[in-house]
Amino acid sequence: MKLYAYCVSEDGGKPVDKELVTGVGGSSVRWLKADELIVAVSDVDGDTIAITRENVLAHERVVRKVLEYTTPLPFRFGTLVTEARLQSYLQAQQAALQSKLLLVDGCVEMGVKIIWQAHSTNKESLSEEVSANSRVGEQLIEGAGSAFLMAKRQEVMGEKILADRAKEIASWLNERITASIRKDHTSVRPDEKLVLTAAHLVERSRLEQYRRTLKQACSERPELHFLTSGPWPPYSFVNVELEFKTQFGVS
Amino acid sequence: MSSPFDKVMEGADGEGFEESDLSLLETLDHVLSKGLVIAGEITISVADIDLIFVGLNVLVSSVEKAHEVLRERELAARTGARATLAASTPKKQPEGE
Repeated sequence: MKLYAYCVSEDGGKPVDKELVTGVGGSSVRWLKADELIVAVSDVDGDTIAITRENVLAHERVVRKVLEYTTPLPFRFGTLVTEARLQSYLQAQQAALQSKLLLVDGCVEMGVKIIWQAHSTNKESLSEEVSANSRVGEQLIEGAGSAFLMAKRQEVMGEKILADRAKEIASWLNERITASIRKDHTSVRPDEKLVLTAAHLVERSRLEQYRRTLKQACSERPELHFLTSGPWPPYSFVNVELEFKTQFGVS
Repeated sequence: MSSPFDKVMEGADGEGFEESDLSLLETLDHVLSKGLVIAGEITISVADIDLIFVGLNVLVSSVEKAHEVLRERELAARTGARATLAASTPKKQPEGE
């Protein structure tokens, strides 16, 4: 028997209503206490959790239920652990977890994805822009090698133009909403469709202000699509020491 | 469960997805690639096949996250290779010595 861990929060939060919340695999959810922290867990047979629509939604449902009362730190889907291991983790990471809980206290996460208009990043328009910028389009291209290098140059410069545009948009968005958020996590890796992905940590009391500000910002840039989601538990703001990158040796 | 999409902003057509599809995709993106991780304690399965990456703490990530890591690894490898090459290239001896 192992424990499936959903989220951790400060002791003192109201308990999950067992009648209303069902965990992964139809299991019931209970609180496990560890010093000043409590963890929402289910008792689960077996050593693995299947990625199914039901299980993923059950995980999210439990964390979302806790979010109604307090702002927890959610575990990643599939965290299956012995009670001894979980207690050990909580003791070892207690200070870091409490620090993170303080950071997200009273907040929710809001997501924003910005998408280019379909016609703004197609190859023809970028190619035209590259040619206009460098005036190389006026030069006579002779031979397959020159044509290849020309195409390669346009490809590289096209990527740079996209990156510059995306950075400008990220900077603009941040300027607009910075007064409405506590913290942000913006990822600018533009491609032909996506401009950026941002997660905003927003205080619950300022949620309406955030929405209004974002809507106003959207109207300023009709050339972009904005896809917003939330409120979420603060998934993007909780990693404690075990960032994905560090697991692969990337500093 | 209520939808995590409290609003899809005007102009976002979702590339033809239904809101429920987008909602599930966003949920997957959040619960599979973000959140607290206890080292070595995630084991999941897809279609009854266990996925175990020994020694790694993250077993499943979004495509976006994977791209990020791969790009950074590539950049780190390039930077490292340049540094190694620079260090191993013998300096030219001044002529006449």
